[in-house]
Amino acid sequence: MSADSVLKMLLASLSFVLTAGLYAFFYAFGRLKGSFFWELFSFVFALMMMLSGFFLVSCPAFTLFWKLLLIFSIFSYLIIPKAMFWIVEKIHQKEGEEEGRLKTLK
Amino acid sequence: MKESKDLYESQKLAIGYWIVAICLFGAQLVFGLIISYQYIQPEFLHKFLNFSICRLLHINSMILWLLFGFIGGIYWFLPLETEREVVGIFLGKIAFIVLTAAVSIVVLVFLLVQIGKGEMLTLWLVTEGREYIEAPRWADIGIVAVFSIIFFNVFASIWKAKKLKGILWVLIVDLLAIIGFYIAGMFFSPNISVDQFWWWWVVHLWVEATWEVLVGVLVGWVLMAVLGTSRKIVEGWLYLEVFLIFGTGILGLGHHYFWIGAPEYWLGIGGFFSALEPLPLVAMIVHAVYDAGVHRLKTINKPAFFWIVAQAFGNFIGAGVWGFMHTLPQINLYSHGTQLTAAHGHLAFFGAYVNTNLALIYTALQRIRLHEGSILDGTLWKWVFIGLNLAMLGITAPLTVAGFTQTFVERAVGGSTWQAYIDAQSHPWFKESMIWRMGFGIMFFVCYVLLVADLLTIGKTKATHQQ
Repeated sequence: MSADSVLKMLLASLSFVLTAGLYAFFYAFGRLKGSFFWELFSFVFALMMMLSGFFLVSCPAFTLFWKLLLIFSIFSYLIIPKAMFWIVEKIHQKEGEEEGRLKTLK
Repeated sequence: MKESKDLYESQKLAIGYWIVAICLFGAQLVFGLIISYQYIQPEFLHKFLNFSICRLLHINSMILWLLFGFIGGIYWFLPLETEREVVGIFLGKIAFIVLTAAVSIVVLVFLLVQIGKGEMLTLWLVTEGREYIEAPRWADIGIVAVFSIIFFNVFASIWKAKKLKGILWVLIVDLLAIIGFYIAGMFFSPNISVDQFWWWWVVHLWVEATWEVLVGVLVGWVLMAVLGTSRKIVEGWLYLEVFLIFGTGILGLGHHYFWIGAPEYWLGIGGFFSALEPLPLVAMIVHAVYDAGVHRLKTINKPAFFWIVAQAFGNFIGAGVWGFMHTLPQINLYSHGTQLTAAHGHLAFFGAYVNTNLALIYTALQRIRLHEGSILDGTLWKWVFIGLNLAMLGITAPLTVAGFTQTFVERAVGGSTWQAYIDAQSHPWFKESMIWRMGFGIMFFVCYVLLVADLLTIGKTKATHQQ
């Protein structure tokens, strides 16, 4: 492995999780505001996350085990914002319904 | 203004813990500034207060002030949860006095005696010598004793009140783990690999398992207090967090076992679980954005709310991004122990723990200084919030650049020779980074002074009492 590739791997690792977070942030922000623009904007970071992830996967320093782990991470980061938003929305909906029921009972 | 007699004795004790915590926070920053200057002028205070001693005091005072803050949080919220005074509060007060006195004595010994001969007397009275847990053996025993008293206070209060809520159940188990894991650092082996193996149980499992769970409990209480979040939601997330922490955090310990002489399978285990660690943190971002958006930033306690939201982001950036960056063994082989670790440490501790403690203190200040229904707000806390966060990013960015320089120049190009080490240390990127870091360190200290001023005054003036 060359010295340059160590530096590239470090930068790609930094970018990988950072862009995953930015994707999650802007996705949730867009959904909450009901803004298609912000939702679309979040996919720019999803793309960057995938590029960083696949760059790491392509590095010869990683054996098959690590490549599979990284691929699993890429897909997880893609799914988490959507899945998490759905879960959070459901929980708050349920909580709202319960509060409403309690008020009616009172 | 409310009378302090409205408070439980336990809550008055919490205030005592927080006052000491904020003083120790100041000490941490002073020693941090000294070592940041010693990076630029290595002869500064040479032979009087060497880098090793100041670094020790910088890190230990951080651990202690965070602990004091957490304990304060427990004593503040416990009577509210159990709706009664804490059982054995007198013992709790004695524990506080003993702990504060012990910390003062240990600091004085570190400053005046500093080191001793390699014998048992030194280990018992001066320093245990191992990084991060340098406190002498008597102080170690004292810490375990104090936490045992806290455990008794919590357990007996819940027992007497007959209110074992989900959050309190997690707290009881976590306090036991805090005591148990600390004991792992109280024995040593002449085999350095075996010694390090157990040492990391304290350093990693305390910080990345037991502390995280404790912070989960405290954040849950803050969320209920400042946002009115339902107990059901808080408990649900807390159980999930405990599951994820145990799922990824415990075996993530393996990333410390990469190069200490532990068996090779730790590369796989440590790397695998560490790579999974940022996943729940990304999920937390979505929840934080949702909560902040749904409440439209409206809360009865603005500073506590902002610090708690910052906690979610800070935890993700510090622990998640900066942690993952150098956690895979193929990368860590080159970056291990460089300034990247320092950058990660600074951001992660600030994000996950400092933010939590500040949110706790502001939550308490509302109850101490305002009547029910009033909103805690002001101007100064906003400057402090922005200033501390910017300064922390400013400290971390140069450390990251310096870490990249070390990884590349010293390790990847130079092959970790002594000459390569000197080349990296004298590289302009490294040297200039240290100056930038010092500059932002001063900015952080100024913001700390403003924070103290804000804590002393917020809620006292009429301008902050909004109905």
